[in-house]
Amino acid sequence: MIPEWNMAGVLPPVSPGLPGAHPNRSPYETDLDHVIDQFATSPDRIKMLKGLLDFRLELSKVGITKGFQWLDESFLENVEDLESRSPRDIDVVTFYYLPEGETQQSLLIKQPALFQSSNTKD
Amino acid sequence: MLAEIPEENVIDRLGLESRLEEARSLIASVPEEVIVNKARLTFRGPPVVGSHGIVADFAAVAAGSFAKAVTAVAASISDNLRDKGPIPNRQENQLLITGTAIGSFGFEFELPNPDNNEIFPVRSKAEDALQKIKELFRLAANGTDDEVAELIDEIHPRAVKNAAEFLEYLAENGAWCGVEFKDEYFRFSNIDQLRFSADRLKEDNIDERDESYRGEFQGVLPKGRAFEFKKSGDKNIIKGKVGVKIDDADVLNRKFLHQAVNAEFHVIQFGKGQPRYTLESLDNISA
Repeated sequence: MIPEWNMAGVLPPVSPGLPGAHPNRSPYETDLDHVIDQFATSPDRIKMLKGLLDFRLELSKVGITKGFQWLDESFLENVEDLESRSPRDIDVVTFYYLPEGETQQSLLIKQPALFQSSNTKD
Repeated sequence: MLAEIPEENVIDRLGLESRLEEARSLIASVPEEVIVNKARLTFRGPPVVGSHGIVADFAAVAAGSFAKAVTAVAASISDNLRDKGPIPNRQENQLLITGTAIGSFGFEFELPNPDNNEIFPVRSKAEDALQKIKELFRLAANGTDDEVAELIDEIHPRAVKNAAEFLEYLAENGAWCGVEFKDEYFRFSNIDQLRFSADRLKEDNIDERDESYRGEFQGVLPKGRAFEFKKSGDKNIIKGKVGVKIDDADVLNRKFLHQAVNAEFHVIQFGKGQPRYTLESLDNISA
């Protein structure tokens, strides 16, 4: 469960109302459904989320189906209020288990563009 | 981090190498010199709770009064300030509160930057104004009447009044302050010193008048803009300065040297100090 933005327009470091050491804190564990429910609030954001889904689809095509991702950047901030603009991007860090029988080198050979952030950003 | 990742973990390395490249590119795009001048104004006394906090009412009025004094002094440096009416160029000389200042409690201000696209960027008037205000406080606390008069002569009386009003507000609330700018600071030692300074800067301690004399200019230093004027029938010499409205001070040497003229000078006298004479306009000289 991801809390709402605080007055500063960002996700609070700890879920509101809970003590500072509580485990319900950033990075908030959630699933893609909740991310979409909470952040697909404009056409620009929907476009970025579609891009994220496309990226995950490409990962699954090369056998990467187990792992988790950190999401960050202006997508996770209320930039519409703070800076009167749409978010520019989603920063994604992917932690994954190597598919059975693959190495990093064999994966890279299969789909080099998938692992170049300059390609996946677009 | 990259050094600790085995060579065969090509995807891990690719990700980090990409981020490293992005960071380098971002650093390279930052202009070489971004100097942002900051000033700090801190307060002590009853409205301040250590370095924990400050009474909001007091802080709002005090910060606003200080900022007003800065814009007034900046306008007076540009010779735009009149006795009444809105302070000119106020928006250009606005201070920006960018944070709190600790060591008691106060505010950090950012000064407007000069246009960095200019070939010869000039210092902002707000920067000069802040230096003058810091110096005014210091001299009001510790300087002689003549030293204060010399500084007041450079600042329009209305701007001095704004600075005095700031100090008076602090005095009313039992508070005193310190101003830090460019690694130099002045801080009032206690409320008594601040009250003393506020009293000194009151309007009734500053006498401003125009005086006319017949006599002869003995000479002007073109760069220093200082003149000597011998009064007719009097061996006393008036020493003064040529005001900023007269572009070329040397014109006095060329056109009026040793010629009998009537001259009107603007006089400022602070406390018991020596009067300071300024020739404000060539129109104030007549045959």
